[in-house]
Amino acid sequence: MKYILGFFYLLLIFTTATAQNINTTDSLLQLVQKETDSKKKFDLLITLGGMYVFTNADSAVFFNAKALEIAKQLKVDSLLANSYYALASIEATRNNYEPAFSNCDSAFKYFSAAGNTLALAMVRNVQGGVYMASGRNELASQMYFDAIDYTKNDTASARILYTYHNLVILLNNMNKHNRALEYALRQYEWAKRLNIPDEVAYACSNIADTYMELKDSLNAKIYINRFIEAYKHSADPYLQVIGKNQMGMLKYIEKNYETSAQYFLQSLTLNNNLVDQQLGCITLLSLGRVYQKMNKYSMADSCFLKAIDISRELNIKEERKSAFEMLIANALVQKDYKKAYTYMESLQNIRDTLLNEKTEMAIADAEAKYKLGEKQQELELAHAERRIQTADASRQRTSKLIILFSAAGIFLMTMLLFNRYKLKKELEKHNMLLEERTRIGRELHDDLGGGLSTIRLMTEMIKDPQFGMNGSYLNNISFKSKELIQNMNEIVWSLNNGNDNIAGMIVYIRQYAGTFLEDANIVLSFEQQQTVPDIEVDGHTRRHIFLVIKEALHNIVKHSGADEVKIHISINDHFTISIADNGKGISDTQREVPGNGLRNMQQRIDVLKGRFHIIQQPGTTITFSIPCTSFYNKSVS
Amino acid sequence: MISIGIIEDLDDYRKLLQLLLEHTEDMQVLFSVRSAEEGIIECGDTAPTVCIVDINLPGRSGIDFVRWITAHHPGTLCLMCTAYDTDDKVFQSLEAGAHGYILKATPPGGIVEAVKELYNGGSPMSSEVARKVVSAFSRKKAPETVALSDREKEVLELLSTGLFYKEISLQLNISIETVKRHCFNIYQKLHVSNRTEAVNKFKGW
Repeated sequence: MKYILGFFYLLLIFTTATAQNINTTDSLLQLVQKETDSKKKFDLLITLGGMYVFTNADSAVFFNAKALEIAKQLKVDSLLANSYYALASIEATRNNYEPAFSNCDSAFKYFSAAGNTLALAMVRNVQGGVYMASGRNELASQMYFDAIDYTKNDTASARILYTYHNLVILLNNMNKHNRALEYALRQYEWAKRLNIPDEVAYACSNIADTYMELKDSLNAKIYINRFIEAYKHSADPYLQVIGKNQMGMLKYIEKNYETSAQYFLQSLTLNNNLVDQQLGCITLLSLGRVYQKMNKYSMADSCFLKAIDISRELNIKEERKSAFEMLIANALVQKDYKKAYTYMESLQNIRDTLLNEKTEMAIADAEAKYKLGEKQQELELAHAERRIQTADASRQRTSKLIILFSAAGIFLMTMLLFNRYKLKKELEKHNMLLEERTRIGRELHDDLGGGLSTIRLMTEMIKDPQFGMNGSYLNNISFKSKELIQNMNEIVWSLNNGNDNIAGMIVYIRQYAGTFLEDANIVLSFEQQQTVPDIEVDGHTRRHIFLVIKEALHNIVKHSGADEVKIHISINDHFTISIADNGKGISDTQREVPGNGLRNMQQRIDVLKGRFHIIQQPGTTITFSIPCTSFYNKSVS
Repeated sequence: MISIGIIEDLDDYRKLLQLLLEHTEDMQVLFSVRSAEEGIIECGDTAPTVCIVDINLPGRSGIDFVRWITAHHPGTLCLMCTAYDTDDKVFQSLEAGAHGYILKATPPGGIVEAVKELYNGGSPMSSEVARKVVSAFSRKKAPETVALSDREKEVLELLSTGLFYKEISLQLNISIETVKRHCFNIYQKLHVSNRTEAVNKFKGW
């Protein structure tokens, strides 16, 4: 049993110990004292613990406890797991099952957190060993099956071999020889594939033992021979003991009892150094059997009795039971019925206790299984929690990323929007420009084209006497030309950026009104507030305002018959201009006539978001009011 | 006798037109008004043979008037009166049903000639208008009956490359009158196809 548990401990040492070539524990101790790096100190402590494991378990526990403290400080799952695992192994070796189990649980928890499935298999092996040692075979097999599960993907690992080895022994103990054979053969194949002679030897030994249990000495012989082939050059002392046993078994099969007994005796001698008493017990039973065959009953009896002593000491009842059965058989052969009866009583006792134990064990197993299930649930819960924590962390990372990306996104969006805005503005400006061009084109077309065409046609027709057109048409042409020049002037004025303030516009209106009304012999009185704010007015707005006023003035000259016009301009948040005449007013029929200019005025005022109203009597007063906010928002200049 | 209606908002020009045409043999001015609305009223029962229509009018436009007269008096021919023949509205008028146009700067003899030509089934067409007509026909997918003939297509093509009537007549070995007639027919088909499209639209095709 020590073999099983100790083996894993050594394995752990190999995995954790540094490659430093340190031979003595003293120098290691010095190193530990000097070491400042926690991780290295941890490794050294674990190594030290490993060195004391067989010689001084207390020291081993001490060093591993120190290592555990460091691991707790570092809060590294894998280190925590390793130290718990080491402690579990030591306690298992010392047959302290409870601490072994609890340490195993902790180790399992941290290994599983670290996601180390191979280490999980190792923990299960230790647990299996402890269960096996405490006689809870069902649970032990459960552990080993688990361990196999954890290692099955790691085809390069030799660790699964130890699991197989222990499982085969366990299954044979449980009298499940066929299943034991199955796993023993797997162990053999695996060992062959990895090409480790010692492991092949162990596997062969297991197979041979199992065949012997199955009373198949032919196959047992084959594997004993394979075993001999594999173990020949091995330095493993334990394997040497097994080797002697196997040789003894081979000779026993060959009915060469003399030689067989010699091998078993050699085995016992070799085993004295190893102190594996269980194996020794088994060897004694085998030797007893050989002596029985040799009819050396007293020697056989002493072997069996010694085995019973050992098994009593080790509290291994199966072997004791076998020993008593052998003793009974021996007594019966010697016809010593009294002796046989005594042994039978003992056997019955053992059987009873075994039965009781088995029942108790079954109950304990059920309890343990239940607890195991609970623990697994706890573990799963812990895992779930951990996953949630990880998810939380990643969510936090994600939200950080989201914030970052959002910021970048917002920045980009702003840039894009700004660009779009700029583009839109430019497009608007461009459209404005096109609109302005169209407007100028239309105005040139309407005001100049039509007028000039008329002059052209008129002059042509004056030249032709058949139309009888006299000098009055020449005056007409003169008047038309003057009008056209004025129109041209207005268009140019509205296009000139230099005129784009409200004061300039008022001056222009005043000049136009003065000249125009003077020609019509109408007196103009022009009033405006003293201070004119410096407000910009774009050409478009200027043109509309001017044309509205022009239209009004033309209507007065053409239709009102007035001889006096008062223009009043005030500017606050609105530009308000009222044009009052003392004429006859606008008749309803005049309002109805298309092209009377009123609709035109309305349209222009609408464009500027202003209002205009006409008050009749006395004369006519037209008032336009345009918000100053309209003055520059359609600018293209 | 060609009966004529004048719709022109420029008073001087309208009066000059009226004077000009009244002095022309075989021509009679039925009305001379300054807006489309007045024109429609004048055309209530009997419409003149030819209407000289200004495009830019106060209120309803000259194009509106053409559309109305084409619908109510299909026999009346409209001659648009414009300052520049590059104006988009010239083509829109032709599409609406006009058969020709005159530039306002055209001398008196030219105006009279244009009216006579129109009356005799000939139309003027500038390269600008020709290009627009070509694209209008390719765009419209007109029915067979209003599809352009090969000769009409040839004339259109040459016109759109900027050739004068005289050059086209020489190149195609036809008279200038025939060229003008082709143009008249093209306009005619343009209206029909335009109307067909309108009808189709109305029926929801």
